[in-house]
Amino acid sequence: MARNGDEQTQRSKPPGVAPDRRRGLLAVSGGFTLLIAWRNLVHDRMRLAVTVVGIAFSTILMGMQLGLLLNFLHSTSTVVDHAGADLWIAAHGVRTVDLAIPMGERRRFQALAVPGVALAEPQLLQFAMWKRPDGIRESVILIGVDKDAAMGGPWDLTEGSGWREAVSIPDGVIIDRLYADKLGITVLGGTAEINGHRVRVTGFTQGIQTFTQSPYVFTSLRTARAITQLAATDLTYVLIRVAPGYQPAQVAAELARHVPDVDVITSGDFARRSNDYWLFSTGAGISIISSSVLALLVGLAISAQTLYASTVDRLPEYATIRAMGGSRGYLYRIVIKQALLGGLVGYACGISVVLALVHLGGGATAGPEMPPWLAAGIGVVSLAMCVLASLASLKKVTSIDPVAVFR
Amino acid sequence: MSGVLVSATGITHTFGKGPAAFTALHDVALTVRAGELLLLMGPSGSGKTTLLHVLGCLLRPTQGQVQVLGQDTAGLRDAALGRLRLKHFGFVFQAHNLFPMLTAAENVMVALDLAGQRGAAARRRAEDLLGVVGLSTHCNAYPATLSGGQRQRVAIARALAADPVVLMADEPTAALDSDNGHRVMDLFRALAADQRRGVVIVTHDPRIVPLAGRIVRLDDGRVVPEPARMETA
Ligand SMILES: Nc1ncnc2c1ncn2[C@@H]1O[C@H](COP(=O)(O)OP(=O)(O)OP(=O)(O)O)[C@@H](O)[C@H]1O
Ligand SMILES: [Mg+2]
Repeated sequence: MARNGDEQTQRSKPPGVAPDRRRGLLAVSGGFTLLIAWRNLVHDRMRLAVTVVGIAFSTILMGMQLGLLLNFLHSTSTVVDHAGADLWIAAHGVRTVDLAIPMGERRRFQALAVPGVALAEPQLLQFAMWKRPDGIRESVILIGVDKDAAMGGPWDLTEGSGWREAVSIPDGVIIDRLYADKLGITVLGGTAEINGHRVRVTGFTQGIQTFTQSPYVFTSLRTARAITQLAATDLTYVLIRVAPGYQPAQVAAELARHVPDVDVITSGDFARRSNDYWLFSTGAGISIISSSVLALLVGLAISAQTLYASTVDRLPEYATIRAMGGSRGYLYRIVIKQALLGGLVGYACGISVVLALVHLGGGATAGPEMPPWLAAGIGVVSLAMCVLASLASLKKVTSIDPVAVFR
Repeated sequence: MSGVLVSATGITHTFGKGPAAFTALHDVALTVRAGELLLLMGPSGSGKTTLLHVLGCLLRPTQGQVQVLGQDTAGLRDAALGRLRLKHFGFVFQAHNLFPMLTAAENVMVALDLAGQRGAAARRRAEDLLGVVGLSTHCNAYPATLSGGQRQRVAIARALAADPVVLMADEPTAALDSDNGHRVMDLFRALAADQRRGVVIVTHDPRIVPLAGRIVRLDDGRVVPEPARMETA
């Protein structure tokens, strides 16, 4: 085609017909098929509306579902992600960070003896019953850490004078602003009971979400042990910091050899294990992923349908292009560009709605998240879907017989 | 040999196979020369359109040879035939098949784009071509706002876009009133006489006959011999 065009130009054209790049996008090679594609797309307003609404709908549904999934993934492992540990030692068989199993403190001392272990700090994590001042009970997850601990403490404290001070106050606990109403304490100094033990809120964090709907309550190791009535030496996790010059995987292997009846897990693996537990053993993940796939299929069906109808409308013109000597590839380019343009417009509308919803729901306790990479990923998937949707139309275009239309 | 643009010899074309087979052309020979306006006439079903398609390399005949500018087309693949059409032929059909959502100029630019001409220069050339067919004031009009004759002339401008040596038209005036029919025919005559192109027109339209340089009559898929042609012409 291009070769032929050049010959053609040389053979008989007046001078000055070389491609003119000043007209921008539409002037570059292939720009005319883009123009035809765009005009096809906007020619039938009703069909355009259906296409855009269909793809936007699919984008919105996918965006909200995957945004929610991302939020779930973050919240199911947030305690691990923010602890700052290289390795976690947990009772053998632990399936998620929230469902901790107690073990004796001697595991910590055994760990400390292993070469490459710089720090080994205890953490105690247990479900407990919170009783609001008005008597209503709420399940919480109590996390006790030593006030001098380098790892495993709360983060993003916005009220109170530093978390170490806050948990140093006798029976002082830290809760998150997101759950202040749920827990019935909205100001510093408010008191409640956990497992019948009186506590005082001495700090608030901002943005520590929980997946289980049981808010995290941080306190000192001593207070936590008193509340949970575990033995004074019990703990649920040992958080390990690896000494400089050692590889976490190598230290983990050493720990596994020296500390019996425990799982030694890297932070990344523990986060993944916690994600997988909630997403796959509870069905939450399957339902989110399948509704995203469903959204994709709906978008696919709608855009395939409208594109096909529009292609069928243009068959006489496309046949004329074939008769004039245009290649099938030329027609394919029109159809695919039309599919992509429809996809782009629909995606732009859809993702705007998603971003607006995410923005509006910024304070919610389980709102979807939409980082740029996820928005871009959904865009790529949407456009790929549009290309897939054009297959039937491409097949139709392939079968055009340029002679038949002129009978 | 010089001046011969298309030469077809021994053309037989059969549609379908087996008992349903129908032979639409029987051993037809025809040449198209530069500068001549050739009319293909004959009763309905006599094979005019089929012959035009064979001459224009849109249809491969079951038997026979078609040479374009001395080049045999039998050995060419579909893609090469397409390039050949793009380079040498312009087609005007009764159904003009203009893109409804493109302006007159843009419809012409489709053909220019196929021929590799783009951008502002292509736009200028499209406007020039519309000037040639008397539509310089309608460059930005959409087909729906044009009359049948105007649309037909846009289709002619499009057919001329790649500067073809042969222009082929199937019933180009059938849908036109007599004023528009005359304009279109004058245009075809000028393209042949002044620009030395070959022009082949399939028609039933007796108004065109006086303009013809040569008339070939078909009957039942065969060229009617010379004497019969003299009688009716
Ligand atoms: N695709 C096809 N399959 C079978 N028969 C066909 C096909 N195309 C044309 N024919 C037959 O071939 C014969 C010639 O057709 P053609 O279209 O060339 O006639 P024509 O002279 O152009 O007629 P008209 O003046 O009505 O346009 C007709 O009898 C027609 O029925
Ligand atoms: Mg016909």
